[in-house]
Amino acid sequence: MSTLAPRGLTWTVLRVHRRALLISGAFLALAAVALVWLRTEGREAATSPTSCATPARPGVPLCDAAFFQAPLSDFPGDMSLAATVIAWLPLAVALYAGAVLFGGEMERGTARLAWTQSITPGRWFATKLVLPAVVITAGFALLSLLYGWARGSAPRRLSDRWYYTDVFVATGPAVLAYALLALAVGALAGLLVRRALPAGGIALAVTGLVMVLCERWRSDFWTPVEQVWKNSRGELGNSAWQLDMGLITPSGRRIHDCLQPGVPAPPGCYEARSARQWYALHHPGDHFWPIQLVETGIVLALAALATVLAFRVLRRHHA
Amino acid sequence: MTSALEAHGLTKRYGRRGSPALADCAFRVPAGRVCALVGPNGAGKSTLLTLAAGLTRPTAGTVRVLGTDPATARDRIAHVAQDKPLYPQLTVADTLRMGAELNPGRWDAATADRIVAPLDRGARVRALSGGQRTRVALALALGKRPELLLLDEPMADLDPLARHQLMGTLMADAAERGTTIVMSSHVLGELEGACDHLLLVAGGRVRLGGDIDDVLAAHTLLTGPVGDLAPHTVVESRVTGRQLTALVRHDGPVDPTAWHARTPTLEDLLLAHLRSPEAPPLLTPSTSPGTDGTVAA
Repeated sequence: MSTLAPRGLTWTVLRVHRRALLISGAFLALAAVALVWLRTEGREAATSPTSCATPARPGVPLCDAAFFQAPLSDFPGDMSLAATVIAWLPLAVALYAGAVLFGGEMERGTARLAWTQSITPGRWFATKLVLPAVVITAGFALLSLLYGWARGSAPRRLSDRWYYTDVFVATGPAVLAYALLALAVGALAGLLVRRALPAGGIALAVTGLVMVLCERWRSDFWTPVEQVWKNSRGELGNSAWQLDMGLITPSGRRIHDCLQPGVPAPPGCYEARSARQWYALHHPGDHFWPIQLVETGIVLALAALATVLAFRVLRRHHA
Repeated sequence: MTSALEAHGLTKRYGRRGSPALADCAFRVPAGRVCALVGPNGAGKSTLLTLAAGLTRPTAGTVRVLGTDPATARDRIAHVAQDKPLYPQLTVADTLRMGAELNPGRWDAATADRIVAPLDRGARVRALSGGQRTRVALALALGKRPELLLLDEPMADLDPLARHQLMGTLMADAAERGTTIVMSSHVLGELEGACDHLLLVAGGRVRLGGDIDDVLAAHTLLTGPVGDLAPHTVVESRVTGRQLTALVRHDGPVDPTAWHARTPTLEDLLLAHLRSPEAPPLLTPSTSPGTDGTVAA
């Protein structure tokens, strides 16, 4: 046997969860193949014509039967689906960690089986956290990088905006943090409720709740930029994440209710008629990384908190 | 004489409300004994064993195992829980490999192999019957060469033949290595003959404890006309017509003219104590904890 082969508790944890490892490995391989294929699809979509003319002009093909019958690539749709799957995959981690890794072991008493061998509960718990964390980090990093790589193959107009929740989570380290949070919450829930299904359900609900709350407050994770136009209203660039827009009255008050298309003067907008300045509150494209890092930091802090709490529960109940 | 297991004021309460599973228990089990832990269902037997195995923490009091705390002695203790937890997806061979991996430097593959000899090594644990799972669980426990073996209802799932054979293996192994065994059961037949020491737990308290011979010798079963039993301590007495039957702890010789006296069987003793919760507990000197919290009759 080679010296690199896993021994002791590591061997045990890998052997016990062998099926889950094989399934997640197969899923990862399939997802990687799909993302590589998406990149080639994106390149084709970038070069294939989207319009035709009669007669044909340079760069624009003739509107003949061949143009209309050519299979239409759904690169944008496929990329959206990929982003959704990657961004919400941490929920699957939460379910597995709560129901199988920890809750199931507590319910069946197999955790105690390890503890009555020469393994302390603390070491058992640490190993059961670290090994999945390594697998999760590697797997999610691969998925997220491949997704970004596939997304970069086509012009921006063919992809969802960077600030769409699924895209935002899937393209950065945030998805990794969510997956680690899912693991830690699953561990805490498993030790607290000691039953497989309730622990899985609680871990799923808590992880989902954190994801939804972060989505709700994401624009506040970094100070947005205000763009002000004088005399004529302008437009933000395509990469901007617009949060709010409206009028600035001569007294400096910002009113955002009065800028409704089709409503000439909504109630209370008399003051707005004299306004000659417009504002737009937004995150420019280069706020992607600051917001990613703040969100990743918050989620990792929550994961650390859940881990510390789980260790305390373990220490209190088990010697 | 060193003690393999010693408790002082040991209390365990599950949750904040409700009565404790164990209340202020004090006892000791000398090293090298095969101790029967008996009592009705819900008496606190399993709680006592999980505390001794270092699987849970006591609410109050201390339990000392092999001269130290249970966590420190973890690699010298084996514990087989009542439901024999095993990983269902592992094969018998993998389960034994796990025992070897988790007990580096202690694992005795030959002993473990001997116990699972009748089983197909490639069979998955989920496909085994209850009795076969018991074999695997016992192999894991004995394979780590424990100095203290804690068994919770070990033989409940076994047929009489397998029970006899495994009990024989267990006793031979214990005798050879001087292993202390604490074995719980509510089936007396399982323990009589195999055990030389007794702990009777009921209602979360230790009611009787000591070497079985000493405990039996301390009691007398009296039959005779209704009369005063003083100065003996009465554990239980029943009157049928004018006939009195009583289990007493004799204080001085029993008057042979007034009473027909005989030594009770273990079953007489246990049933009498279980039927009379108000009888004072008795711990013989070998079982009384040395320092504080001594309980003796």
